[in-house]
Amino acid sequence: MDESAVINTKSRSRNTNWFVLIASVFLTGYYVLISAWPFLYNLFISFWKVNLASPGIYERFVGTAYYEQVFTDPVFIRSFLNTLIYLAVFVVVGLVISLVLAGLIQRTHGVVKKVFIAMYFAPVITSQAATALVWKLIYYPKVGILATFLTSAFGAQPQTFLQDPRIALFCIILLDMWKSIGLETVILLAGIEEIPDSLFEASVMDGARPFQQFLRITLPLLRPQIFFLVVIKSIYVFKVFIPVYMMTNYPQGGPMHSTQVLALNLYQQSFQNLRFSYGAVVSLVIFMLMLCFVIMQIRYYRSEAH
Amino acid sequence: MMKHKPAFHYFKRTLLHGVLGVGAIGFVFPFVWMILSSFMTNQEITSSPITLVPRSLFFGNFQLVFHEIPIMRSWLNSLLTAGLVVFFVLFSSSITGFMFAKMRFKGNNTLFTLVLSSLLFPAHVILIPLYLLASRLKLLDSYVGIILPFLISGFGVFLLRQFIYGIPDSLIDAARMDGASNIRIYMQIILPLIRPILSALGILIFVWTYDELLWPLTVINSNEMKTIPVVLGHFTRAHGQYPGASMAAAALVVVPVIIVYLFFQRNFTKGMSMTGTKY
Repeated sequence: MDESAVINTKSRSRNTNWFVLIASVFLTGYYVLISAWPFLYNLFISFWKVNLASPGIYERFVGTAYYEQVFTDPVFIRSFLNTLIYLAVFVVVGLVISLVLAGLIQRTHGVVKKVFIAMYFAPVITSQAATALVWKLIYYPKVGILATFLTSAFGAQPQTFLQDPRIALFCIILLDMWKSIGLETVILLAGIEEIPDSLFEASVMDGARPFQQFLRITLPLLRPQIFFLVVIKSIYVFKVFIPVYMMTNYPQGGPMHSTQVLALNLYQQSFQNLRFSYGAVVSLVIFMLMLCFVIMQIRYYRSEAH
Repeated sequence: MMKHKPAFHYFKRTLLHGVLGVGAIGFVFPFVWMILSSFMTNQEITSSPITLVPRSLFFGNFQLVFHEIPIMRSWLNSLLTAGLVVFFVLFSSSITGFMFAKMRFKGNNTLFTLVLSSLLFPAHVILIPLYLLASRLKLLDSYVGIILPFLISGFGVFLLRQFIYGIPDSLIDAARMDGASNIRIYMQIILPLIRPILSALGILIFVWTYDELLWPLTVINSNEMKTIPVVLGHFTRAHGQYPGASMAAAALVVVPVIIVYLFFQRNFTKGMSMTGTKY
């Protein structure tokens, strides 16, 4: 027994070394190539005037000139504020709706429940680029399907939606909520189903109404899921690109920059205007905004890790 | 609940189903509208009293799509790149997940933190250097270039590490006693046991990669290499005045996915909620 244990640990350590060594080298190498080096490089070019045509591409060191340029650019400021509006509306309203949906679906049973989940979940798995196009048609100005519906059902003025700078951004957020609510609902529903039935039964004995149950039992016990969703959704918002790119007319972000967001600004400045240093600064802004949320996410993962 | 009369209970149930039903129809409606309007002429879509159902089946939109864009080729590009990414992510996550969960070595925690830190640097944060790197490596406009930033997923490694941790040590020790190598243990013990989480993660990664736009847009130049989202973006830019044609293109992209989804719906939702609640 003792002898075999000794042999075992010996052979284990020998094997482990090779396995671990190869895997570690690959992991480290990949992340240096794909994360660490590009990040430092990005930081570097934000201080340089870059010209792809000139040899060596760096023309000269300009210090914080690009930072000043970016932070005083009205289009950048607009995209920054729009991203914050997007964050607030998308995260808060999206979560409230999916909480209500999860609370309602929890009370259904059998096939009905499955059908409901399938229907609410369908947008999650379909391509965001394609569904953004569909919503663009739904938002067709004045005579489109939604405009007609609102006019005939509520007597509203015929709206132009995506062409109206006051509401265009919110129209895009609405599409994005439609796309993501199914996933949040399923995650929350799975959380609700882990709550022991006895808690609900006991509260019924005490005369609690369904709404009170939701406030006093469901909501507090769903805190981990809600926290996780807030973090994940916030990180998503700082990177949001596809809906605006697909739904607004070229050059995207209009009308009057009312739907301009950070990732779109980054793409347009870097690859349509070829202002790489400007783009590098915007990248860093996205990084700084994401930073505390991603750190929360990593800490959450680490605290979950055994 | 017991105290209520059956009639009241029935009313409540109907109300609940009614509210959820109206919402659900609203959620599915865009897909219905997409299909209907893909068979409509431009005039039908944009004329004032809107028609819900096409007067006759009009195939001009689909003809335009097939004529203008190599949609089959884009399909192939998307399936191939997303499939490759899924393969690499499943492989890298399971093998490193096994390492982090079941092997004791110096620097285990440090390395794991390094992997998680990669979440700080999505393509949005390093887009320009990544582009310059791909250009330096002559990977612009190639499949390798498209998949390069997505081969290892910090999220995937974390998920698999959690899952493999739950596998009893006794199974692995018993195999070691019999002289099995780590590779053999990975192939014959770990892989069969983690199949459910692998399929869940695979679906998730597939959907994400299939939807990726910013990086493909940056790295792809030629028409032949465009993935589905890139091609859709360029197509609508060129044919913005034909909404029916956009819908035909969207339908060609969405309908196959919906069909797969209808057959494997449980796998999709279960997989997503599994990955969603595990952490």
